[in-house]
Amino acid sequence: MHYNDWELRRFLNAIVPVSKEEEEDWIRSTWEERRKGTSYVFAIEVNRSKLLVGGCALTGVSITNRSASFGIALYNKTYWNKGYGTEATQLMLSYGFNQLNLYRIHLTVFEFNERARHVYEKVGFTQVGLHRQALFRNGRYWDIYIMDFLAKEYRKRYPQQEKL
Amino acid sequence: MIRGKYVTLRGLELIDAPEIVRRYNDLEVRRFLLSVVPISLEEERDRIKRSWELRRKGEYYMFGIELNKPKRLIGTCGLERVSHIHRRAEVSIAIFNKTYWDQGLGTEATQLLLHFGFNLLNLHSIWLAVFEDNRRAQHIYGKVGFQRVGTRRQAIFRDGRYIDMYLYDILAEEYRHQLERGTA
Repeated sequence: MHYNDWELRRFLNAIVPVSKEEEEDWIRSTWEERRKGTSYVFAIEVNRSKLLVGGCALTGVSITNRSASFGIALYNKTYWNKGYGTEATQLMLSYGFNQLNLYRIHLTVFEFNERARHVYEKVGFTQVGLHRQALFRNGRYWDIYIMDFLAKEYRKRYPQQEKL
Repeated sequence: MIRGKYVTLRGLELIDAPEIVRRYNDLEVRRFLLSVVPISLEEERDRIKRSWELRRKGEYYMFGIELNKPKRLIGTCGLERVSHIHRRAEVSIAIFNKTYWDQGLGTEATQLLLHFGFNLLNLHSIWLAVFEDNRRAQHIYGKVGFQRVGTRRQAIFRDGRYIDMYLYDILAEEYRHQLERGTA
């Protein structure tokens, strides 16, 4: 329901709506991927209210390169700008570096998604490049920024091994 | 294919099965390996096919050890039980053709496996288990940089009695360190 809200979807890759059944199939597919170790998709739940407010994931896990791609969406807009995205991102970084033993976590973010870019920089991602004019949205082209975070940088910035 | 000076590690083909079965059904070869039960040609062909599947999944990398000159399959080796999160795997190796024992070929094959595991698969630790009376193998493992780290007491029953298995391992940093010193 929330995902079909355009204000959210403008920051994500796909602009076409999803049906309930498609979403159920997708959830099942994440279990399979998780077993294979190719991607780890999590729901983001608010502790007090137990309300599901979003999702985040490490996808495209490369076993040899020890790298993965990070993605996140808080699809309940009531919960934007309250630090939930920041904490969820930090939890995923800890999971990726401390539990999955990854060496590099990278992400892409749209030029106009300033809220997300701010969060990523705050938690320690570095902008390392961009795909020029890679996105067509609302009648014009935009850049897509590439950000990444290496394990050694992570351990420097978050010295005590946080328990999940 | 991972080519060394004397031997090359290559993928196994179904056509290799007869030579493998003939040699492995020799008890003098098998007494240092885990199983003393004979294998059939068809079982071996199935095992080779299964190894292709496991290789695709990255869980087990099985190689034939081929002599460079003349081209001849003299053994098999592999990295088994590859754990992706812990980045570790277990070595298995056998030169099944006894004519080629004690010529440094097992040593080179083990070194090629370490190169494959540490430099290409990005493993952190490679370990193995060897029978207490397999002095030839223990000598090789020590020479290429493995350390003996423990014992599984009376883990194997063979020839009417229990024998110990020694555990050996080597870490990536130790491997790279000895490469730098030129001793690997």
